[in-house]
Amino acid sequence: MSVDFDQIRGALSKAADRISGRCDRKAVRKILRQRSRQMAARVMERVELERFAHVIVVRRGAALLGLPIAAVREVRAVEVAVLPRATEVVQGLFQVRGQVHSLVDVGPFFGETSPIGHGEHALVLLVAAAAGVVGVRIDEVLGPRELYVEEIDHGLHGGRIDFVSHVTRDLLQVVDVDAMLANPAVRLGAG
Amino acid sequence: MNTDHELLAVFKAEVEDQIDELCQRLGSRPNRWKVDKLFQLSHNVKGAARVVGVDSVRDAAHALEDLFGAIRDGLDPSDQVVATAREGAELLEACFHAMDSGQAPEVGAYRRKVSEQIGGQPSGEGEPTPAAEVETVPDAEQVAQPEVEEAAAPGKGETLRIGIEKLDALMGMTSEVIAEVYRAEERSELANRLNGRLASLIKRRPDLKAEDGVAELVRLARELRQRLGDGTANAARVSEQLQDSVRRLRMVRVDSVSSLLNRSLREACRFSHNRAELVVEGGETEVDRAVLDHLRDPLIHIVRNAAAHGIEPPDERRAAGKPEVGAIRLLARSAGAWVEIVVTDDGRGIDPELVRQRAVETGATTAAEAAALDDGSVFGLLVRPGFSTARTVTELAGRGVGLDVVACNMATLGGSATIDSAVGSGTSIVLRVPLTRLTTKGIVVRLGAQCFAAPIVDVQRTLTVSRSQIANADGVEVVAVDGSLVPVSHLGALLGLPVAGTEVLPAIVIGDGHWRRVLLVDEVVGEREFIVQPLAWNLEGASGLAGASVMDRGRVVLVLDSRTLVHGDGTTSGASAALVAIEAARRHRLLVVDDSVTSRTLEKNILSAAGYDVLVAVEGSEAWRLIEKQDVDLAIIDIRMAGMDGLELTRLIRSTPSTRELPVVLVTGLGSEADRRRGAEAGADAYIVKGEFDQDELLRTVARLL
Repeated sequence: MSVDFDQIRGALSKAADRISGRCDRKAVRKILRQRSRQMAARVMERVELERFAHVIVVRRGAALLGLPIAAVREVRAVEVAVLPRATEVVQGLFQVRGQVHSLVDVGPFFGETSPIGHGEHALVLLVAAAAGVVGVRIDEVLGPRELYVEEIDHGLHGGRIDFVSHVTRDLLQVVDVDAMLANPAVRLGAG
Repeated sequence: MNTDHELLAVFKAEVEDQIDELCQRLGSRPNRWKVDKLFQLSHNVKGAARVVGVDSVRDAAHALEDLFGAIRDGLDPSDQVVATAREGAELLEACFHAMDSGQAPEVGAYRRKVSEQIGGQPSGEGEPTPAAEVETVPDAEQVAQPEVEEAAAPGKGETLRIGIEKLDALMGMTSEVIAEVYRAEERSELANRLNGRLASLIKRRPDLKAEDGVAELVRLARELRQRLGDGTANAARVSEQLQDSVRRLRMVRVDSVSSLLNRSLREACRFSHNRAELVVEGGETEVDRAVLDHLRDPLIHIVRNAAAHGIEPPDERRAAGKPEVGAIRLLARSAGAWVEIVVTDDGRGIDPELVRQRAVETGATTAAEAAALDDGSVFGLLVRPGFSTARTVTELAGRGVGLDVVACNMATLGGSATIDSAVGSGTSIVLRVPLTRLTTKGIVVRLGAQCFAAPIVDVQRTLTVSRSQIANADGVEVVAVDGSLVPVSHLGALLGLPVAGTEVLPAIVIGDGHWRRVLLVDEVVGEREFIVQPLAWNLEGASGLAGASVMDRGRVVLVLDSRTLVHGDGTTSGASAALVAIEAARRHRLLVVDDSVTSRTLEKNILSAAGYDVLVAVEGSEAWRLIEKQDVDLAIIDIRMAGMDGLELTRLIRSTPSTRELPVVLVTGLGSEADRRRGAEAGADAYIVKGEFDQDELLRTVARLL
């Protein structure tokens, strides 16, 4: 393939003539500066939105919950050993790769109470926080989701469940895992 | 001192082991010293201390290096030199442990002492003068060279420090592997059943053989059974090896506590002015780190007591024809899944008569029982929790504080301690502990669909109990076991689980040596080996549970906390509340005074079954001696007795300031109004007539007065 450099040079020359012929150089620079500021502003806004939250969306009863993806280790179907004097929230134990963990059901906080029998299976989200690791009982995983500030319904913030940090306009309840595990109901004998 | 934290941590980890080894080697007889190794250890510590700028450690190590260098070059290791070397090791250890406090011991005097002993000619480098420092550099490199070569040799003696929690996590994963093997065995069993069904089908319908593909089906089923069987056997073998390998990772040598023991020995000798030497044999025997952690304190106490109290003063030993330096020997040996550690000394031994006397004084036994005990059983009293106190042993047995800690730690480990001693010849204490705390044997029981495991060390026996055997003693259900009344509960009731109403139930008897409880269950499944994991962080409030374990088919089984189940924790109602009442009652010590053996035994049994600690006396003067010596909370006294009768004893109690407030219950066959009045005038708080004797009334009266 051959390149006709003369043709290219000619086209560039005509373009330069058109610019210099129609506007002065100062005006061109001003327009370009304004455009660059607008573009930069959009990028900054986008960055702010991306930083808000990245969650795994799960369903427990009728509630849609978003748990920070960084706190989630894995999703497992496990066989549950019921704990004597189990509560609605702390229901039992299960094992994953030989390590025994406790099963926590946050359903009662959202009006969903369903005790589990010994030897029954449950779907759990294994979550880790500063306090330790627990299995959070869920009904299904709906997938990961990026959350943006503009999706948050600020009118709903400050509800009665202390570990729900935000609620989106489509009623996804964002869970603060540290606050959830600090809730007295999650500790047997402390509630 | 201005050092980077990370570097300092590395220094501590490196140098601690070297100082330990140095102290350990110095604890042996000088003819067993390897001076080159001692010199090298001192040199290494000095070099490392210089790098991180810990001057006191550097100077102490330097002085030791000088001393060992001089010995290596021909200095006679006289007693004085040996003592100086050991003093230096102690100083070095003290400097090392004082690093964080910033209050390092003074080292200058020791350096001068070493300098005088070696004739003012340091064999190695000299820190104080720059000229000496310059001279030492090539020397130091020369000495360090062999170690560099040794370290560079691939795989030789290389070690890696790793957090115990990582090993625990690894061990947890091996449980999963074991569970997977169980699943494979299930699949193999399914294949067996498939083959069996096919065979019986063809036997009934031989015509099927002619059907197209049936022969192939039979062949495939056989092959499946063969392959699954082989795979399962192989997986089982590998999983056992894996578990064993991980268990071995947690093992440490018994002699890793030698330096600590030597230090305790030296301190005890300094304090008592005795002379003793510790010899460790079988130090290479390995034991789980967690087990050794629980052995450390008992061993320290045993060695210290042997040096301070068991070993006689030098002049006494000389007069008895013994060497002036007492010998304390620690022998460690493996015995299957157990490790035995035997500590012997050639001291004065323990007089069993004095222990008997003390046992009676403390109420641990009656005089008659003590007299009936053989010497071995008498020494066993010394390691019974709560029996051995500083007063007891220093006065009586030549053994000071610490036997309590031996007893407690052995109980924690599920081990045992036995003592044998001969007056004038010495004492031998045998500690028998499990090799590891990771896996433990237990009895698995079933409640409904759920299984629980009780550590086998807590299970005394299994039995079957029918409802008709259960009696009521002051609101507590009891059942007779081996001639004693033992509180009984359904395990389900204690755990808050549904209870089956069967007439006859299997049961296990759990206890901790002093307390027992019968637990009714739905089934005693059998004995199993399991790995106990602690309960999750948010389950600390789970009453009656000590941990969890992953068992067959990957199922989680809860491990019972026998101690809580026996004693109760105050959070449960019903039977557990009764246990709490018993525990509270147990703190009260009652004295039963009666010359009738039948009445005395009956009252003692009733009160003991209700949880009280009961002393007995057969007549007034014996009772008074016990009241004076013991902390008696209440006295139950018969009136008609030979010698000092009950009324006299009651008056004596009331007229003595220290016993004036002691509650007195008169239990007597004298039931007239005049008799009752005389009892009240003597100062009795309650009066029970034997003819109207009712055990509930006795227990209610006692409870009211306490």
